[in-house]
Amino acid sequence: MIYRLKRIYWQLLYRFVVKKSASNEHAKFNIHNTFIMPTKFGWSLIGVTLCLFVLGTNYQNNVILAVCYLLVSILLLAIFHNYFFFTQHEIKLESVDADFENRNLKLRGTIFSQGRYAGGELGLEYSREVFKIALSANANSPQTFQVKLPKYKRGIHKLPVIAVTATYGFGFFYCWSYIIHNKSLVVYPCIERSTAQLHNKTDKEMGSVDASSQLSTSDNLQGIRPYVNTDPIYHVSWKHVAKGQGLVTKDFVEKAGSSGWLKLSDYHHLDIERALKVICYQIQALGKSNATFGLDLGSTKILPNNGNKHLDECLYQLACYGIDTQDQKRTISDPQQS
Amino acid sequence: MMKLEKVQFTTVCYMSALTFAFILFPLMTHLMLWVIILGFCSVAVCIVRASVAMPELRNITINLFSTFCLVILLLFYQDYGLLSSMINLLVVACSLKFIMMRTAADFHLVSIVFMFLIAAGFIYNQSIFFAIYYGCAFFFVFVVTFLINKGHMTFSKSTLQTGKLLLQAVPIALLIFLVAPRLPPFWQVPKEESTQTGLSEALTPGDIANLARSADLAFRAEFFSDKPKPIERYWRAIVMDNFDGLTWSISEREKNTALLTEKNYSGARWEYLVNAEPSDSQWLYSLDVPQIAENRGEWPIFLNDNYQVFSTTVSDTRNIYLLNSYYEMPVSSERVDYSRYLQVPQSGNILTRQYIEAMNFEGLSTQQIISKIAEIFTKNPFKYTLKPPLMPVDPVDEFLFIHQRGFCSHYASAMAYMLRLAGVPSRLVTGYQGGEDQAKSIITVRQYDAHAWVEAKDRELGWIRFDPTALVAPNRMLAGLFDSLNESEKELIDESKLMRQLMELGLIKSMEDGFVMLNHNWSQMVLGYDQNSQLEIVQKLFGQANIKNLVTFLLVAFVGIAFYLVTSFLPWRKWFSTKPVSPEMILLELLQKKGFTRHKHETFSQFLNRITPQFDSSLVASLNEFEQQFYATRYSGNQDEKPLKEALNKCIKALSSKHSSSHKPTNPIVE
Amino acid sequence: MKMRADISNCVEQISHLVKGKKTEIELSLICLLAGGHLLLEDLPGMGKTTLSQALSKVFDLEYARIQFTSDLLPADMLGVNIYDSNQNSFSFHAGPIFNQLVLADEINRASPKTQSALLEAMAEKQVSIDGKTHELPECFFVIASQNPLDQSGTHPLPESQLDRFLMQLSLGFPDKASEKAMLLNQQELTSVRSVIDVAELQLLQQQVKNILVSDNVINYLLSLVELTRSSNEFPNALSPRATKAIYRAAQAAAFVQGRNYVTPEDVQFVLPAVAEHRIKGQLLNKTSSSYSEQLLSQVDPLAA
Repeated sequence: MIYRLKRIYWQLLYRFVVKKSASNEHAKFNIHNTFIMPTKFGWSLIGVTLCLFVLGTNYQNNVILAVCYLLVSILLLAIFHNYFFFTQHEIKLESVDADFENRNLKLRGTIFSQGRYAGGELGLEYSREVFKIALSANANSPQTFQVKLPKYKRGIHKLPVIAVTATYGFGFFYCWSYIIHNKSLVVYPCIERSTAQLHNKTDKEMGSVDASSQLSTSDNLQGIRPYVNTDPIYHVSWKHVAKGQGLVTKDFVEKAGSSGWLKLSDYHHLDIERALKVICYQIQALGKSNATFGLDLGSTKILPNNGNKHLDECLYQLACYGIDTQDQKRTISDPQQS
Repeated sequence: MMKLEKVQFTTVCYMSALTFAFILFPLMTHLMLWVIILGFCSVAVCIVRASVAMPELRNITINLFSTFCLVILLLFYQDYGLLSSMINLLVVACSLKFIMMRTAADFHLVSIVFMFLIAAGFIYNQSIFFAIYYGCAFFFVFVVTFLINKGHMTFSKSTLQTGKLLLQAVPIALLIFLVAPRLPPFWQVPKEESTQTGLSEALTPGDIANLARSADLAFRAEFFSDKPKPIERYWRAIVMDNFDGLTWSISEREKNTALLTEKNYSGARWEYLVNAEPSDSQWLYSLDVPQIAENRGEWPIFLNDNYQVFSTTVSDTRNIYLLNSYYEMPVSSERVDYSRYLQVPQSGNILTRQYIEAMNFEGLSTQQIISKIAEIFTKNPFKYTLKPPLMPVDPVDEFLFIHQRGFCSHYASAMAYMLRLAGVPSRLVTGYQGGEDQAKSIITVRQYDAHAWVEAKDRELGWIRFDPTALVAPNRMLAGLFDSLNESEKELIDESKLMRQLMELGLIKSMEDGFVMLNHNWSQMVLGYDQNSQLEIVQKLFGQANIKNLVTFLLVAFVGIAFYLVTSFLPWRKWFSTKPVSPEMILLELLQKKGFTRHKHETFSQFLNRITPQFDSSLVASLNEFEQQFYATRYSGNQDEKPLKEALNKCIKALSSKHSSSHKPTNPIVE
Repeated sequence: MKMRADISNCVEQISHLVKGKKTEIELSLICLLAGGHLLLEDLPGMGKTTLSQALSKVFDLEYARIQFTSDLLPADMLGVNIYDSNQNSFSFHAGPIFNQLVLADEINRASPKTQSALLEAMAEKQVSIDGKTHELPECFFVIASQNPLDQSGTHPLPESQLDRFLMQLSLGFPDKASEKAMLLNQQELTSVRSVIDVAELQLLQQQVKNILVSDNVINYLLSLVELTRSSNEFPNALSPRATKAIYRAAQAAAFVQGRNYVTPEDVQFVLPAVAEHRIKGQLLNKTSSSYSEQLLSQVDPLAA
């Protein structure tokens, strides 16, 4: 029950945040997406101000009253200063490159600032961590920053909702806005070196593939089939494309029968994550030696090929294995839950 | 909360240590010795910690220590009073936090305590110097809080920026100060004992001597007419009629003297304003014969039949009032029964009694009687001193015939007693005598100017003032107390010798005069600002001080604040930027108003080609001309904008005359 | 001014042969006038060869065609030193590249070695064989053609070498009317007259360099280039060489239009041809809109 309520609360909050967020990687802040509240320090100063008012009135002390009013006006101005400081900035986040799990990922971005205030600090907050970015004293120069992301498990992740905050001036007020990063982050499984697994059939057959030349010729054309995302580009039949018949892939006999396959089913005795890690290692090793290989994950197959693009494609498939990419729900405190 | 970065930490530490020391300094008189030591130790620790890496204290140590401190504070709570204890507590808490400071939140906490301490300091002292001093401290506190999240700004720039932000707040604060309603105290606060000094309502010879050791300000008077000569400056305050052989006091009857009824004032007069510091007594100060011209204080003041100015309320607020003193007029009142001014105790002081009884006053006028009695002071070696010997029994006898050394109260007391014995109605008056000339028109009277003298009743002349001290120490009247003392006695007055010596130099003197003037204005305009002053402003502005005008006043002030905010935050710079407006931008804007918006990627001619099919020929012609001119000036290196502007004018004409009325674009965005 | 009329005459002449492709013809002329090399990417039979032959005719250029195959060696193209027994020395036999207009057909079929030899010759306008440098003709223009990357066994040109071509064009299928016209009056290549001779062409190229480019246009050009560098939407950023290429092509475009100053329209006209292949690189463009269109739509030409 409580869990459900909590979920509803987070969902409502998330919906609100999405509505109110600067919402993409190039965030500009304005009255519609900026919030402002006193900080703890601000609240205590308001308290002090009230105390001083009572004190000054009780002692009929004009100087204390004057101090109290001065504090009031400083607080009043601080709201405006902080707001204008905050809205003079624009933040552009870069998309995070795919990486392996449990690595220290960095979120990079640029802060553009124009206007009256120099210096100050902006904070980036997500998943209960605060990163302060000290801004340059030269108001108009863009400034790059990088902050640590939490460690992710394998999969395709939405980046956390980032709150950008500022407590410019004396730190009485806390101005913030949310940025939602639209690009998702691909996290490959980490590698697991497993010497025992190197002896299996995949490895042996890789050797034979290496020996025979890998280049296919168009003579061994087996047939055509609809293009799938993982097919190499040069297998696309351009004649069919030019005829307006859509993307179709030419299947070659040689390739289909080639034995340079990494098969997930070889590792069925391992738990799935571990198996993926082992395959990830193999892919890396094969990629390093520039060998040609294919990947068979059961549901998805990638035809044998080599090169960086092929490597990326294979790793991507490993990252998405078993994950329905549509079902990725993004919550505000994301990393803990995923 | 995050720890501060090293560089930031160091500067913030130094800065807050400095601020703490700065704030502690004037509070020292109200702090216990160990608290002071603790405070300065923590400042030292903070400075050391900022520069050298030190192991952090364990929480438990600090907690134990703070409990210990709390216990000590509780023990001394009775002796120190609530407010002082509070301040001690704050300083202790602040010091302990100071030792541990690490995170931004710590610094914020300390800053909050600083602000409280500063405000508390103002309870004790409100002079302008102090205000400036604490204003600096206030500024430092804000610099500290600014430094915490200054980014990559330099220290000096941060300081400047802090100053700018604070200065910006000053006008608003001033407006609020002027406008905000002054409320009565919410509840009675404990009085600060020993903070206010002043004359007491009973006088035992020797008392005023204690007062004389204080250099605190009693009041200032600003003269609008000539100033009285030093010897004429007898500031009357309290009249005492009851003598019990030891102590003079005010009888109930005296206290309830009727208010002065109609009186015809005449002759020359002094006009002046008195700005009296808060004191424990209701009696205020005036020169003879006073007439109240105006009261600027918070509480009403009155003048009674004894020509005493008094307020019915004793409060912490200062009294400010304007007086006229008709110094040529006699001090007389007809309605009084003089018998009580002859009252003497039945017993005691026998020597004096015998001395007076031995004299023969037959046929002498009051003046003559006075001078005859006063001969005792001139014929014997009387001495004026601040350190009179103790005279617990029969003080008059002991003073007159044994010690012959005393302070003004001894002389006045003895004189009044003798006069009464001689059958002359007389009374003891306390007040202040003299005062320091400062800044041309201002006389500053301090507590050490306190004085006592005698008034004797003459049948024709009314009350005659007689000051026996003047016979013994004429300097006291001419040059003030200070010059009448010898060196060793001067030291009794708690004011630094150096200061005194410095003051004797001319330059310092004139500077001091300036300060006095400033301080006088400060106390009058800021410290004395109250509801009446507020009403006065309203009256001056709107003609009448009623509720409606008061509300208008408030509203005007709020509008003023809003206006101030608007003017300081609207993006004027953006609006009045020097970026020139080009003709093509004007045309594009015009077309946009008509509903034709250029896509971002379109060049000028592409845009015109897209929209011209919807226009009639004359407009198209002028637009095409503009287009030609545009390309000629912008891209072919022809710098002359004149033809372009002319073409623009044609376009504007064509646009306004025909198109706007003929057909509105039905679907302006045609791809 | 006579010469400008000649240019439109050129366009006219060529469009008799290659029907319905006026824009492409103009662009290829622009490429020639800007002194750059042209890459034609198309399916066979679209008129690549015809276009290049027509160009050589119109400008009266010496023409050679090299058919690139996977076994073509650099020497086959550049020429070899042959031992002359009569003179007892080696004499240089110039290859087909020593011509004013060279058509390198199906360049992506040749081995990378041969490709780079051609590209080196294009960049340096000279050929070094056995330590001896041979200058290529002063007016040297390469039209390379490649089939779309539809077959294995081809060597797609790497990004760095794509950059050497000023423009990449694709003729595409003609529309119905043009194809009909083509069938009805089949023109022979010989019917094309020479309009401009080599000397005049060089003069024109000189004039193109003097076309005024105002600050406004330069700023527009720079903000276009800047966007490809700062935005993530573009796979490859445009190099300074590309900037220079757009600049020169825009000058030539203005010249062809008969203006002596460049307008943003000129930049927009040449940009797809000049920049698309550089931005795209070897990638397969799966989206319908091209990168250069995307680029143009994001920059305001009047903002400068």
